[in-house]
Amino acid sequence: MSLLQVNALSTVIRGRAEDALVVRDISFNVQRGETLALVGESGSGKSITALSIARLLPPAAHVSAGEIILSGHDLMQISEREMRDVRGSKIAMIFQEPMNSLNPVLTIGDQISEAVRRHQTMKRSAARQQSIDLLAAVGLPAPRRNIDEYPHQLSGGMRQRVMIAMALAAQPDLLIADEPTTALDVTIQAQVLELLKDLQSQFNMGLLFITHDLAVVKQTADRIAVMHQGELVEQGSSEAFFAAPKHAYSRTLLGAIPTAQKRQQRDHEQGLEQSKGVIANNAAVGPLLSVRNLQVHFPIRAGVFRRTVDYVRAVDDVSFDLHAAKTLALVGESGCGKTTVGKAIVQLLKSNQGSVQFQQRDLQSLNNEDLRKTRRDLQIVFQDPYSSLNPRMLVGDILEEGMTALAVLKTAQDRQRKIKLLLDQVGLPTDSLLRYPHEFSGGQRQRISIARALAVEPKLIVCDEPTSALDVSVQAQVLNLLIDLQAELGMSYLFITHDMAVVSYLADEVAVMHQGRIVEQGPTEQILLEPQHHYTQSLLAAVPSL
Amino acid sequence: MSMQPTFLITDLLFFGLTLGLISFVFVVRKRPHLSRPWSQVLKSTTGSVSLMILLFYYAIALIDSVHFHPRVAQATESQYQYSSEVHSLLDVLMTPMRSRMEKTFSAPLATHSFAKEMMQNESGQMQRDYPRLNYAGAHLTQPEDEKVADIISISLIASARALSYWALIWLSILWLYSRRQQRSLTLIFKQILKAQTAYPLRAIAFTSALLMLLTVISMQLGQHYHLFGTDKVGQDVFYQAVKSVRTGILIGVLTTLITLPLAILLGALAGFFRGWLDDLIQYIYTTLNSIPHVLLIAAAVLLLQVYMSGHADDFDSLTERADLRLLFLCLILGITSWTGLCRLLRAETFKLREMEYIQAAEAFGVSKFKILMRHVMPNFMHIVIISVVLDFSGLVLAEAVLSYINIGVDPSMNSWGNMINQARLEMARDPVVWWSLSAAFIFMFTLVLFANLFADVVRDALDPRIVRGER
Amino acid sequence: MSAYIIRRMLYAIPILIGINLITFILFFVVNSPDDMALMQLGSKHTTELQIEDWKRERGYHLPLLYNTEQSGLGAVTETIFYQKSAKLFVFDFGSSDSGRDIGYDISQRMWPSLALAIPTLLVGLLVTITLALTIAFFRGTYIDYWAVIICVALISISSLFYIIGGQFLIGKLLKIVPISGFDTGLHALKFMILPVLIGIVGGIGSNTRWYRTIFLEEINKDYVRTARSKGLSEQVVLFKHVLRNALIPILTGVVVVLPLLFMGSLLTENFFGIPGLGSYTIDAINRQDFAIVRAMVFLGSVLYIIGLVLTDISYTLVDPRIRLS
Repeated sequence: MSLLQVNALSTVIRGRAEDALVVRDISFNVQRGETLALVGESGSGKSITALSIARLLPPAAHVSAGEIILSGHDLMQISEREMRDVRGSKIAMIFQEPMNSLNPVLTIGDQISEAVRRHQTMKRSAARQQSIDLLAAVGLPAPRRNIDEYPHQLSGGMRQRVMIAMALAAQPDLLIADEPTTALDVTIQAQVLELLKDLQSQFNMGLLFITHDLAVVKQTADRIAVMHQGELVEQGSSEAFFAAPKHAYSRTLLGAIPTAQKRQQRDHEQGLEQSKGVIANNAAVGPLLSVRNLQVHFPIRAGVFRRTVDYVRAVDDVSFDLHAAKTLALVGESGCGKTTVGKAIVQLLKSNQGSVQFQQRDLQSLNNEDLRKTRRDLQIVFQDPYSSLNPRMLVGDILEEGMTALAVLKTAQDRQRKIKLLLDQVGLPTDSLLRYPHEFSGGQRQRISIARALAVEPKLIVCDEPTSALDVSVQAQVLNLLIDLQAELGMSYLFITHDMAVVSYLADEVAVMHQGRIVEQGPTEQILLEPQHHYTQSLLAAVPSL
Repeated sequence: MSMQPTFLITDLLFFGLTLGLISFVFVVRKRPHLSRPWSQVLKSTTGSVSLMILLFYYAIALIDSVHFHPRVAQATESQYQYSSEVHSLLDVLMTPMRSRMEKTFSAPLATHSFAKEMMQNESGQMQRDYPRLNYAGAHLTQPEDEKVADIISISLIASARALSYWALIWLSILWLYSRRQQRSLTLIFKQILKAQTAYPLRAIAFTSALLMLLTVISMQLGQHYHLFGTDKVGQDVFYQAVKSVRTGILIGVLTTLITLPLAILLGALAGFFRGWLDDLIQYIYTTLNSIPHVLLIAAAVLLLQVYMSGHADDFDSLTERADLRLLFLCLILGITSWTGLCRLLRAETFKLREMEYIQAAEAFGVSKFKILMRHVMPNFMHIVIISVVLDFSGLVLAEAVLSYINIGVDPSMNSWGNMINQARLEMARDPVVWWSLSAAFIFMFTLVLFANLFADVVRDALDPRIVRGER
Repeated sequence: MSAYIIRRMLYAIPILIGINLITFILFFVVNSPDDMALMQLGSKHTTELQIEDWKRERGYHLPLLYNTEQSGLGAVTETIFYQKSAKLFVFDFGSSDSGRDIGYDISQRMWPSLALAIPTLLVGLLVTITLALTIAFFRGTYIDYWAVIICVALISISSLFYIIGGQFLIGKLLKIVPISGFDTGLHALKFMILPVLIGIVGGIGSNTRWYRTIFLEEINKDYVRTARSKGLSEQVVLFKHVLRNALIPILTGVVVVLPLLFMGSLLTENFFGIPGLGSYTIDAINRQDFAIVRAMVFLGSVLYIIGLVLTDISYTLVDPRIRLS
């Protein structure tokens, strides 16, 4: 008998106009000691499935049909009171955002011992001792101190460990992990995944692992179920899936993941090797962008009079060169200062020291007028497709704004012609220019952002994590668009990212950032295959690979 | 010309504001991203019905803002003499109610005075009794027997008239609509009756019928009776309550007119430029906010009184003087109430400032002014609208309280606050004179309730995240 | 942390100076003492001499900012600004236009105000939080829907009607408690019941609706889902997790008005004839006693600023995120 058997489950969300069937007739099972990965892109219904199983759906949603059988009992048939006894003791959950998922005004100890005492009669002191043991079990460095701390005092990874400790409090049979590592950096992700695996075998739990990341799946899952638009399109063992995915959607998903092999394949098909070589000769002229000893410090103010007592060294001595028509990837984990470097180069932030030489001119010493002229050649594409376009402006006006501000084209007709050309270049229909941003999907919005930057025909585009908010299949399209545009127009990219797979797919050179400094840089293959610095090595080791 | 038009300052501001509102509607209609939340407001039954009632009040205020000096006598062939009194279009519409003064109190729909008087009876003896009223029920010979039947018959006839007007208007609109949509009239009727239309037409039709009935019946009954009785000096209370609508609405909207430029400009500047400008603006509104509002208003109004008593000759008429005081009250209410919105807008601008589309504009070297106008302001306008709608009802209520402590509108002006103020002394009488209070309560409560309901719907449609913090 | 609070306290100084300047300008520059005298004495048949006497009695005969007739320090101290405005900083309110010591009056009258305001606040808080929690428990049902409508209706009633209606219903129709008046000591109790009750009922609408919004906002947060996933009952989730978080904005919202309780309630005290600071202020406004109004403006502002500082302090006490950062 399976630990969990889901039969023909359907879940409906009430909408303003009509109800939406977000989970359609899906069936799967989870055995004891087994990990089933439920994989899908955003909106595929995977999280709703998880919440349906624990009967924790938001008020607007409800299960419309199906059975959820846990150890032989149908959870849909029992009362809410009985269900509460199941939650925590039989089924436990961990969620994506450990900060939001913990109560900010209760101590860690309160929150864990609450879970301990809910399902076992136990004295307060005993529960506290057990909580400390649990914290030790999930690898917190100082459980006796941590137990009296509040969630905000811990780092993201530690918070997720606390969540895990809480979930294990009553030794559940089934653990549902909903994107447990998505909000974490890759090195922390590796640790948390390892911890989950250890604990699973220790307690012999069934693990329902929900994620969008196929590389993580390959590392953790015994079996895989792929969801697409509310339906389960394929399920099977992990080996079989990665060897030969059966469903067309699974193949698209796998095919969309950027890798070095795919890059070679693409370069080969398009004969890009030669053209790149031609442009590379131009590089002899000198670098397009040359950053030397860049420092950006943010003051820390304290005391009664808010005097500056110290600085956050967001960027601390960064130097690199970027040549024409090349892509330099600036890689690092969150908080390493990579975005700050990007903004300082585009002069959206003032740097404290160092120089930014662009086309042989120091940007920091330019006066306002000269800087405006230079902005034509220097543009930026942002991460968040939702906040990077003004929701109150027509797409046409958004694309025109830069041209007008920088006086790129004098007449309105010229500008309109250019806008149509841009839309064509980024693969959007011409009628888009009379529409508003909210009418477009995330990927389309990112295309508009790219078109906006292209409008002034820049020589360098700083791409600040342009695809990290996108689903993997959309990410592939946007990456390919960027590569095609580079081949066509010959500009350079400073590509800021945390994703090694993306780096391997499009970068010519890589600079690895850690705590405000570049620890290692060089050609992509060299860095990825023979990393010298120990930070790069640990980073690469942590990346789950396909 | 039988009259000489005249414009009070508040009239001009009010008309200007109305034009502004109308053009706002046109602007919004053309832009789908702006009109979407508003169509959501109109699609909700509460939203539509509240808006209709608010518009009804607004129309009364508008009619009451068309002022003129009536002609009194013809001096020569071409020269007319005009009264120094100022009347409004509403006064003309409510003529008998305005001019028919009884001696003193009378109860709603009464035919006899509230107070006994010495008078001669039929046999010629003097006795204390309730005298007949001068106007109310004067057409009846035996009021005790005929009154109820008379009131019912007037109401029935008025209802019939009201409903036929209503049916005529709706039929012609729907007929035109069915022609344009090329759908049969019966189908449209069916959809409305079953509430299957996109906009809640059934509720709208029902509300309009109700408003039409109330208007026609009260106007008809008002011809022969005092619907809400009369006050101490014998004036029709219903007339007073209707005249007070203009005061209430004006306080609500004109104050906004003063608040908005201050709040928007300072809020946007503080949030966008930060630094010393932000410190200065924050200092200004924290300081202003620290002073208890009632006291600041009291101080300002006391000073106005001092000024007015010192410069009594500067005002042509009592009306003009009262009008100026109303404007001043709006001004001082505006000065005390812009701080809340300013703080909200400053915080929102702070957030918008970090938006990537603003950084993208900066990367194009777009000027700060253009960024403010194009990227910041349009994106916080929903907060402005929500706050305007939310504050409206509070201002109407504030007028009553301020007039009650004698720091509101001029005592000669019709306002609900003044009505309450005068009426509360009569609560001690036995039997109680309750009608002035009730009339003020009904009129004010209806306006404020629907303004609040409307505000809730607007907030939900424009931005449900905003929590209203008090003070 | 303490540096932050000290900074907030220091920030109060320029604000107090600003308020002092505003009152000075309002009361002495915009309107000259002559205008005030005319107003009080009546503009007809008033001679220059009478005005001069009126001003001299109240100390308004001095120059505004700088006294050229005096030398040395006297040039600054023998002025209206120093005598009337600067002295407010040390809570020297001077005497009212009718000659009474304002400071003494305030110290006498704040107790009845507090006796009225504190029970109104505390009981009101208890009632509204309970109501809001109950409504939050029934969120999404018809109970919730109608509770919100009733709240909106309650908000739409002017506070004047609460007082008039309450006085009429309970005091007159039911004849349970006296309609108005005040007494000392325990005897005051029977006079307090009605105004306190009306104060609570008058605040139910807006506060319940506001607290409900806060509760609902908390209920939709992720940590509540976590708490449910542990198998906790809805009551524990509401009382332990949601209430703890929601109390932070609620309590800090209360703290800011705490000092202002001294000022009393203008309307209630006036209606019920309670000799507190609220009715004191109203009487002053009606008698057009500028000295008292000025003193109350300054006092009210000081109390509000104290409220702001207390709010900052209370945040650091109740919110661990701020306390420990």
